[in-house]
Amino acid sequence: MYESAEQLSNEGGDYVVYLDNVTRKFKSSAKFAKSTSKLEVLSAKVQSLNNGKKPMVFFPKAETLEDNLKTKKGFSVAKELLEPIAVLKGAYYDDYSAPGYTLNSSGNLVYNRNITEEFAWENDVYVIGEEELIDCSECIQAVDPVPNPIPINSDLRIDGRTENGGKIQILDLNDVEHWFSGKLELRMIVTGVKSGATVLRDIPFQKTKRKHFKDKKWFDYGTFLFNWNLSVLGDYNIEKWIERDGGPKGTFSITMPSTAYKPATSTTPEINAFPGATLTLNIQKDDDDLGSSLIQFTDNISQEYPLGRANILRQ
Amino acid sequence: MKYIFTVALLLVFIGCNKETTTILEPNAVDLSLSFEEQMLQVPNNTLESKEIITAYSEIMKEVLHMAQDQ
Repeated sequence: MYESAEQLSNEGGDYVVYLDNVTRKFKSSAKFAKSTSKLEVLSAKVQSLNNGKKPMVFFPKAETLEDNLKTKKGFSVAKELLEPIAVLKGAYYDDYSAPGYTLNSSGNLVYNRNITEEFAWENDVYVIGEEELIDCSECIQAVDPVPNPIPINSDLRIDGRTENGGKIQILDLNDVEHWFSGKLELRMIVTGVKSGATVLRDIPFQKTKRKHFKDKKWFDYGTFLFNWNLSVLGDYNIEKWIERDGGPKGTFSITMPSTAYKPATSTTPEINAFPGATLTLNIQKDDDDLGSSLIQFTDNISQEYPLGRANILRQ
Repeated sequence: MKYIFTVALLLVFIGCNKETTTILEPNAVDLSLSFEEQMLQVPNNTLESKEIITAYSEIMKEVLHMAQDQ
């Protein structure tokens, strides 16, 4: 199970194994023949009850095992196996724990304990539930935190300066993406003024490990946004973040406020008046809106922008 | 008078204590309920029907069986 999950994670997945892949992998083993044939039937049943959504198994500890395999010489996954506990994805308490179940001697599910994220990352917790349907065909590969952040020589912007972004701090990780849903699928949208209201950047990032966001850690996707030429892009833009969870297609709007004409100064060109406009973008129903903020050219570069459920920085 | 007050206070405490033992912890699972009912009682819930919970519970059993046997 771990091997399958780990392989999928390396392919950009989420330590998630579709039940159909579990049955395929273990079907030839005599030991698992009975279970795999039952699982085949159950997988088809769940799909028929759940609008075709495939059941999956998520093994959070895979992330911990993967890290240990990389850092500890002679580390054995087999020696790390503990009593398996199952959690049904989709139901949790206000503290984000979820009831965990083991098997009794009769083969029935019995409540064992409430499982927290910390427990799941260190123990053999199998999360069973529906898949997240997210189109990631155009996702941008997540990178590890930038080791040497771009130095900021001044706290003030100059006309034409390269503007970088993609640095985010999630305030309540489980509120944004419950631990039994695994990695985060973030999307950053920057709208601005360029011959009218326009989307300057709309970046769906690849799934990113939760550990990068735990304990309100900042994560830096290290993203080039644009060269901020005032005469072309005006003196403000709006940055919005979304955590993608899939679901039916929908739309949301971003309103770009109007601005007055600004004459040229010794350091800046003239900036045309902008009458204001509203942009409509695509979203999926289950996506989480982390909030948005208006960012002005005159703001300090190191200014932190609170979005509501996250904070962001420009660089 | 002081003695009577202390005894009365003790009785109140004991009374309260007896009462609180009958209240379930906020995240406690009611073991007298079926698995489906236990899941539907969890406050934050996207599970839509007993039927799908039953199907998932069967999957949970098989996955646990396989995990125990590996």
